[in-house]
Amino acid sequence: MFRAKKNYNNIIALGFLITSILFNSIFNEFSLSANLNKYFNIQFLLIYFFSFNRFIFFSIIPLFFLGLVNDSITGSPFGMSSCIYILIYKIAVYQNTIKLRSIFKAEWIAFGISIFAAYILIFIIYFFMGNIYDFRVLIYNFLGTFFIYPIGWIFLKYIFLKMETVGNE
Amino acid sequence: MQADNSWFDKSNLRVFIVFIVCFGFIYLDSINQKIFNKTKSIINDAVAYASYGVTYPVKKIVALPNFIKETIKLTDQHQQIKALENQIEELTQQNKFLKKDFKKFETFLSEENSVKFETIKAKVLIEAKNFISDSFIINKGSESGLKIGNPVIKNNYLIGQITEVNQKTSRGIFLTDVNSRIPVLVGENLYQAILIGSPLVTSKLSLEFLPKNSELKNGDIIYTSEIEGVLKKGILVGTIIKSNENEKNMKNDYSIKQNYEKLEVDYVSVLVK
Repeated sequence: MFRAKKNYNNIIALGFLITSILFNSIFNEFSLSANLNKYFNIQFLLIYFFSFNRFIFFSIIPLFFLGLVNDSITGSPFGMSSCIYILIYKIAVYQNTIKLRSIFKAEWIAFGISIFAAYILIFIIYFFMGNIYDFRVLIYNFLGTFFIYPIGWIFLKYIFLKMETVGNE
Repeated sequence: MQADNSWFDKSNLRVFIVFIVCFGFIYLDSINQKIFNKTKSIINDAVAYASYGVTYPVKKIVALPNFIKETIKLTDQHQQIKALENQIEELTQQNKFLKKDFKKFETFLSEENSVKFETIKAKVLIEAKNFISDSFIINKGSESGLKIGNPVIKNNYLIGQITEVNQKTSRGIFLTDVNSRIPVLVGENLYQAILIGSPLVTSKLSLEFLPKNSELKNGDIIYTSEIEGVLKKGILVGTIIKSNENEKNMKNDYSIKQNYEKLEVDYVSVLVK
């Protein structure tokens, strides 16, 4: 009984990440040329949250393949997203093991550190590949992702707590 | 338990290997290695069609209200066109002189050599955006004769360029992409400039390398300039909109209006010759 409920949550969590990868393609139908991914990165938030809370599908191999899918869709250097996803995953798991989960503030700061490392990695890869980029975009995106974490956290906690309650009933 | 808490333990070997694989991929991608490119092309094709298949039902459901609105609008427009056709018929019958004049004009048009481009029609499978790129994937690739640099047109306006060609799909970047650089001619004086996409503001374009003494007017049209074998001269790009007529700010105070909405980019034409 418990296992069935847990798997259901894991599949939904994975569904969230896949939807976020296909986010623009789907949500373009709603609004005119709005590119919300410019201001924050939902994928980083989801990967950190689900890895930190140890959801089953959020491990190295699925994240590696999802990263390749994301690179294939967005046209980023092949392998870059996998690298970043795994970096965020690894930092999140490490922070989980040192018991950061009890205080939200600590979790939030830890999230900031993990995405900061991710953006540094993006910067390094783009720099060495000679791709054109704007420094400000990276900074704005980092800040946007960092400040949206509490909202995402409340939303995801609410959904998964609700689902657990329904499952228990 | 202790092994879990340590950063450099045996369990991290897998992470290390995956990192090496990822960096290997990035390296092979950057040097355009042939076998890797072919494999990547197959993966890109598969991902593009799979993503299209996954998002298709959702898109259709979401687009349903718009589709109904458009159908109603088209029915109205069709009736208007029919009424206009009737009016034209009446007028031509009433005025034989005009009819003769029209025939002369028709002969003149048929004698003129109109400029024709060879195009390939393609369907946009996915619009792929992230914080750095602003691109789309179409369902035509090298099999259909597409090449890197081919201009992408919608409603006679340039909307982007092909940047990556796979076997069955291709990636194009919108003019608003940070990597987009298009040589253009602006206004009546045909000032040469480079049209550059801005990464910060959506749908914002800017003109770089404009001559110092250039003066842009409201409504000035932007055309493409020629790059031999890549870009044809004279493709419409957009229009200059002057928001403020203040003389001091004449040079910089403008925006560029593109005559398409990104939502409408469902089918495009790619200029191949």
